[in-house]
Order: sequence, then structure tokens, then C-alpha cells
Amino acid sequence: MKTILQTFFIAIVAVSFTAAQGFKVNTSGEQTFNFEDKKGRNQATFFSTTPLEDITGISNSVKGKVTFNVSDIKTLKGSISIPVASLDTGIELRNEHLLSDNWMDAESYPNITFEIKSVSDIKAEADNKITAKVTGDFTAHGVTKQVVADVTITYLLESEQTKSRAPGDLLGVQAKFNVNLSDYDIENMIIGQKVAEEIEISINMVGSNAM
Amino acid sequence: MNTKQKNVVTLGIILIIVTFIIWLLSGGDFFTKTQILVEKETTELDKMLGVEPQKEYEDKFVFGLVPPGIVATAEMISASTISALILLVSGILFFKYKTKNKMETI
Repeated sequence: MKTILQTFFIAIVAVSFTAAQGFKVNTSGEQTFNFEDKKGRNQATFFSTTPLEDITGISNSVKGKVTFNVSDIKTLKGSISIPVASLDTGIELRNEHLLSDNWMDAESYPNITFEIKSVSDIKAEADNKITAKVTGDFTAHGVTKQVVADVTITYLLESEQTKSRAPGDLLGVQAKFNVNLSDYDIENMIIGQKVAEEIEISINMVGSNAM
Repeated sequence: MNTKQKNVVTLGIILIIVTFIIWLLSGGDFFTKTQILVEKETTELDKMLGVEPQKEYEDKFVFGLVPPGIVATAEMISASTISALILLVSGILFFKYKTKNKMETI
């Protein structure tokens, strides 16, 4: 009897480790979330430092779609894009430098994109909240490199409260990762200031499965 | 150096010192700015969705040390441009009074 119980316990543990990890919410199947927000509430932030001051570039034009099976977040696929021309650093001349040939060359490379490739290190923080590492192809200035983002994803079922933002179920995504400017053939001088080699990118967005 | 020239030099130095004190009291930013980054208030729904507060650039003048390039806007108002202007006016007055002094001697 003891052996049977031990075998049963080991089997349960093994199954729980190999089982799909996803949201435990009152919905199922494959869902597609659209992150286009006409009110510009989805935001990407680019943070950098110079010896003289910190620089924060923001874009409120984050667009993209992701698809996944609610019960298995490893099935997550999709991409996010940000128009380079939408970046704002709070100083007009610095924005002009940012879009110029020496920096992002917005004319030749109008978009910054992140394409999801795989999901790992999944941890369920709550029934509707998951943290994970999302590996993807990050493309900027015409160069594509693989990066790993620390991501927190929250699933909210449609309610009177969520309807104030958008119809349908909502998916809140917070992602953070770093990139090196030299990896993307971008020079690190802006208005005569040497910018730090590493840029911290943060994305905060909410998508709906009814758009 | 006559009395008027001494007064011009003294006033010029005082004004430049005052400009730099104002710059330091304004936060000591390197660049003059016409916008600052602020965080919007987080809604209850944002908290439930686990997203950070949205940031935005809000119109506000920040007196900096230097302008962020040669621009014909309020961004030109900085400690360095005002000091340069004070130096220029002081220099002009200094030489103006020097000439008058010579004329008076003749």
C-alpha cells in the first residue's frame, strides 16, 4: 500500500511539473489580444543616462497582437511594434537627433519591433497573473537581435469595470529588458552628450480580445 | 578704471552670480527644458491589470545651464546665455565709459 501511495505521489508531482502553465480563469481556448489603443494609453519607455542627465523617451503608439491558449502561456505568439517617429524625449532638438541618420534613422527604419519566440521560467503569481521570461527578436535600426524580457501578464475577465477601458477580456502586460546601442549600430552621442551604452526598455500595455 | 567702469564690473559680477544662484535653486539641470516628465495618476483598473502609471511630458519651464542647441525658443533662456548677455552689455558699457573718460580728460 505504501509503495502504491509513493508511486501515486511521485506521479502527481511529475505531472504537475510537466503540465501546461496558464491562467486559471473562467475562459478557455485560444485567445487573441489586440494592443492598439486609440487613446494612446499603451506606452513604451526608453531610459538612458548621460554623465549630465537622464534621458527618458516615451512612445504612446504601441501596437501589436498576441495569441495564446489561456491554459498554456508557452503557446504565446505575436509581435509588438512602435513607430520610431512617435518617440518623444521632451526636447525637440533631441527628438530630431533621435530620428536622424546617426541615431534611429526613422526614414529608413520606421519601426521598432519585438517578435515573441518562446516563453520560459513561468511562475503563477495568482490565478490571473503570470510572470515569465519571454525571448524574442528585437529589431531596431534595421538590426535584429534576440533579447529576453521579464514579463508580467495579467488576465482580467470582462466586467463593468474593464468595459471602461475596452470591450472584452483584458490582458495587462508589463515587460522590461535592456539592449546595447552598439548591437544595433547606433552611435551613442545625442546633442553632444555621450549616452550610456545600455538602454532600459519598458513596455506597459493593455490589450482586448474583442477588438 | 574709473568709478562708472568699476560699477559696471561690480553689477555685472553680481548679476552673473545671481543668475547662477537662480539656476542652482531651479534644480541645477544641465539643459533648459520647456517640458518635464510626469507620472499620471494610476487608476484602480491599472492596478488590477498590473501596469505601471503612464508617463507624459507636461509643459513646464526649467531654467538650465545651457540651451539644448541653437534654437529660437524659450529653451535659449539659460544661465550661460544670460551670463553671456550680461558680459556683453557690461563690456559695451565698460568701453563706453572709458571713451567718455578720455574725452573728459581732453
